[in-house]
Amino acid sequence: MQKLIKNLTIFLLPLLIILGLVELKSRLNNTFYAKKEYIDYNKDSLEVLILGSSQTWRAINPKFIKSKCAPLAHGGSALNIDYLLLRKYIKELPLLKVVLIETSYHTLENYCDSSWNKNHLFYIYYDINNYNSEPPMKDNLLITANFSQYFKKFWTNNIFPEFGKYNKYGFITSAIDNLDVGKYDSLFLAKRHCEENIVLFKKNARILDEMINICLQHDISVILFSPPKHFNYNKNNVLNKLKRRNATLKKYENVVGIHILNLENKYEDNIDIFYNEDHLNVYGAEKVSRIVDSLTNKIINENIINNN
Amino acid sequence: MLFNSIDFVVFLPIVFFFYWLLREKLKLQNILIVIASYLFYGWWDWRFLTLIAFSTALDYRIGLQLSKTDNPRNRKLLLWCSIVINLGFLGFFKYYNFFLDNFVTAFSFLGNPINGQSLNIILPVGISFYTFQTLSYTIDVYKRKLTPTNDFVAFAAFVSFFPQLVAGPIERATHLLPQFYSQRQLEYRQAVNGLRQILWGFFKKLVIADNCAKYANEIFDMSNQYGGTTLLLGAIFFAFQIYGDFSGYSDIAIGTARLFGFKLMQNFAFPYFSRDMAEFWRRWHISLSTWFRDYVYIPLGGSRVNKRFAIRNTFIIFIVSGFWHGANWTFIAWGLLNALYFLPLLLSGNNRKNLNPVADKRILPSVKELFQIILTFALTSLAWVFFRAENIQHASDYLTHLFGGLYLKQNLVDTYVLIFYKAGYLIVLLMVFIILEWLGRNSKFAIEHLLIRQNRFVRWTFYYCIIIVIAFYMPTTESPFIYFQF
Repeated sequence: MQKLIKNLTIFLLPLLIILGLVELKSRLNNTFYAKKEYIDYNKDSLEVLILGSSQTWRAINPKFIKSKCAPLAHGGSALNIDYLLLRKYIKELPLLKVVLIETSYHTLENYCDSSWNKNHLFYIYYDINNYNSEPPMKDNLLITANFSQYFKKFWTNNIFPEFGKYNKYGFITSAIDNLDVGKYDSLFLAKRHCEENIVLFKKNARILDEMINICLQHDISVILFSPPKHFNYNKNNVLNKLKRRNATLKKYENVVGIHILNLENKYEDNIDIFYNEDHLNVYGAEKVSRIVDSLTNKIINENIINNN
Repeated sequence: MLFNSIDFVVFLPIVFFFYWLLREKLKLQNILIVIASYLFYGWWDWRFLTLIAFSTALDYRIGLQLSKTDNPRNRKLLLWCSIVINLGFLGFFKYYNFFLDNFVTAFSFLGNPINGQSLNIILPVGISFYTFQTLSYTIDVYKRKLTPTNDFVAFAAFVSFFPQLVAGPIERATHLLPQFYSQRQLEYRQAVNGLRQILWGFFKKLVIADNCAKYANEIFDMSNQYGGTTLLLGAIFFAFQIYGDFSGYSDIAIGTARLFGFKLMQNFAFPYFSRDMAEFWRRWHISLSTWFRDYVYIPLGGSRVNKRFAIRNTFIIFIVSGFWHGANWTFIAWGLLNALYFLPLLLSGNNRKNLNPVADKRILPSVKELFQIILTFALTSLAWVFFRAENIQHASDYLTHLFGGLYLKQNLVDTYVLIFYKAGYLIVLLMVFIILEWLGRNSKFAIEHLLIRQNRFVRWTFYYCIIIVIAFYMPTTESPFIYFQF
C-alpha cells in the first residue's frame, strides 16, 4: 500500500503541478477575466453597458467609443444571460446612461439553458447563476468544469501567443483576416441560426420587454442593436423568423428612450470587414464602433440637455 | 455515475482508501462495496435501486430454497420463478413498447386495427447486465454447479459490484462470488496493472470512441447527403467507436476491480484482428457470448446435433443475442446477419480453425492473415451498420448509398475533404491505436506488457504521453457509454 501510494504520488505530482498551472494561467488569461478586471477598475465611470452574443462582441471595440463602456457581450450568450448581467450591473454602475442590447435576427429564438457549457465562466467571473439550483462543485474550477478545453487552450496560448489575442476590454484583436467563402465551414456558418422556435421567441420577447422596462425605470436609454452580417448569412435567413424579430423591433420604434440600430444589411457585400459569415473582423469592428460611438454620444448629450 | 466524470475521479480514491483501511475486516469491506455500489448506481437514478435490491433478495432467497429441496419439481418451479420474474422486469422495462408497437402494426396490417397505449418507460441503466449475472447464479445453483451462499452481504456485493454493474463484464457466480468470501490482498503489481488498464480504457473511450463518434454520428445522421466512400468511412468510424467505447469500459471496470483485489474475466481479446467470424465471436464481448453459449446454446444441443438443429441453434443464439442489445428490429437484423456469417464456418467444420493467436511469434501477419483480418473487419463493419442505424429502412438506405456511390468522383472529393480538413488527426490516432493494439495482442490489454522491461523513465514517459493525448482529444462534455442503454 505504502509503495503504491508513494509511487502514485510521484507519478501524479508533475501532472498535478501542470493542472495547477493550467488553472492559474487559464483564470488570468481569458476575455472574461479581462472584461471583469476592466469593469471592476472603472466601475465608477462606466456609462455604456454592451450586452449580446459574439456577433456584438466582435462588432464593438470599446477602444473607439469615447464614453467608457462595460463590454459584456460574450460568445454564445443569449438574452436570458444578458438579463442576468443587466440585473447585476445596473446596481453596480452608478453612471450608467446607455444599455446596448443585441436584437440580431437569431437573438429572440436563442437560449442558454442550465446545462450551457459556459455557465461556469459566468459563475466564476460575474457571480451569475444560470443553473437550476446551486452550481455543481466542479464548476468552481475551470479545469474541472471543462478540462479538455482549458488544457488545449493552455498549450495553444503558449505555442501560438498571437492566437486569440485580446485587448484590455476583452475584444479579440487577432481577427484580422477577411471572410473566405471558400473555407470548409463557410456553408455551415452561413446556414446556422436557421432553426425556428416560437416558444423561445415568446419567452425572449418577454425577457426583452422586462430588460427595457428595467432600463427605462432607471432613466437609462436603450439601443436595440443588430450588427452587420454578410450577404451569405442574410440570404439564408428564415423569413418567418426575420418577420417575428422585425415585428418586435417595430413595437419599440417610437418609444422614448429606445433607439434602434439595425446594421444587418448595411455592409453585407463588403467582404473586407467580415471575419466570417456573421462576425466582423477588427476593421469592421472599428467601422461599427464609430457608428455606435456617435449614437451613444448623441444620446448622452441629449440626456444632459434634457436634464439641464 | 460515469467512469469518465469528475464525480468518479473523486469517488474512486475515497472508496479505495476506506476499503483498504478495513483490510482485515472482510464483512465490513463487503458492506462498503454494497454501499459504494448503490451510491454509484443511485447517482444516475436512485429509484431503480429498488429493482437491484429486489432481484438480489429474490435470487438469494431462491438459492437458499434450492439448497433445501431435492424434489425436481420444486427445484424447477423455483428456477422458473427466478427466470420469469427477472426476465419479466427486463421484458417490461426494455421490450414492452417494442412488442406493443409491433402488435398494433401487425393487427392494423391484417385489417383489425387495435389501440395500444405506449408507456413512457425509462430503461434502468445496466438492467440487462445485472439480470443476466444474477440469473447465472440461480441456474448454476439449480444445476448444482454452485453451492448457494448464505452470506447475503457477499451476494448483494456480487450482484451490485460497481465496476461492472452497469455494463459488465457479466460475471459468473462461480467465478466472482467466491472472491467475496476470501480475504483480498492489495498486491503492488496487480494494482499497478489495474491502473495501467484503467489508463488504456480511458484512452479507448475518450480518444478513440468519442472522436470516432463525432464523425460517425454526423455521417449516420445525414447519411442521405453523403456518397459511398464517406459512408464507408462512417461505418469504419462506428466500428472503432463501438469497440473503443465498450472495450474501454470493460478495461476501466477490470482495472478498477483489480484495485480492490478482484479479478474479472476478460471481455475483449482484440476482436478486430480475427481471421474469421467464429474467431471474432470468441473475442468480442466474451462474457455475453459465453453466457449465451453456456445457458442457451448448449442446453439446446449446441452444435452436437444434426445439421438442421445446429442451424436452428445458431440462428436462435445470434438473434437472441441481437435482441438482448435492444428492442429494435435493427438489432435482430444485426444478429441475423452474424448468424449468416457464422453458418458456413459451422457447416464446413471450420468454426474452430483459428484458435491460435494471429501471427504467432511473428511481428507482422502473413499476406493471407492480413487478407482474412481485413475481410472479417469488413463483414463486421457491414453488420455494425444495422446496429447503429435508427431502423431497418435507414440501414438499408445507408448500404444502398454506400455500394451505389463508391466510385463517383464527387464522393471521393467529399471524402478527401473530410479526411484532410476535418478527421485527419483521427486517422492518425486510429493508426497509432491499431499499432499499439497489434503489439500488445497477446496480452490481456494492449499496454499490459508494453515497455514493461524498460526503465521507469521510459515507461512513465509513455504513460504521460497517453495522458496528454487523452487531455488533448477528450470531448469537452461527458459522453455516456453506448452499452449503458442495453
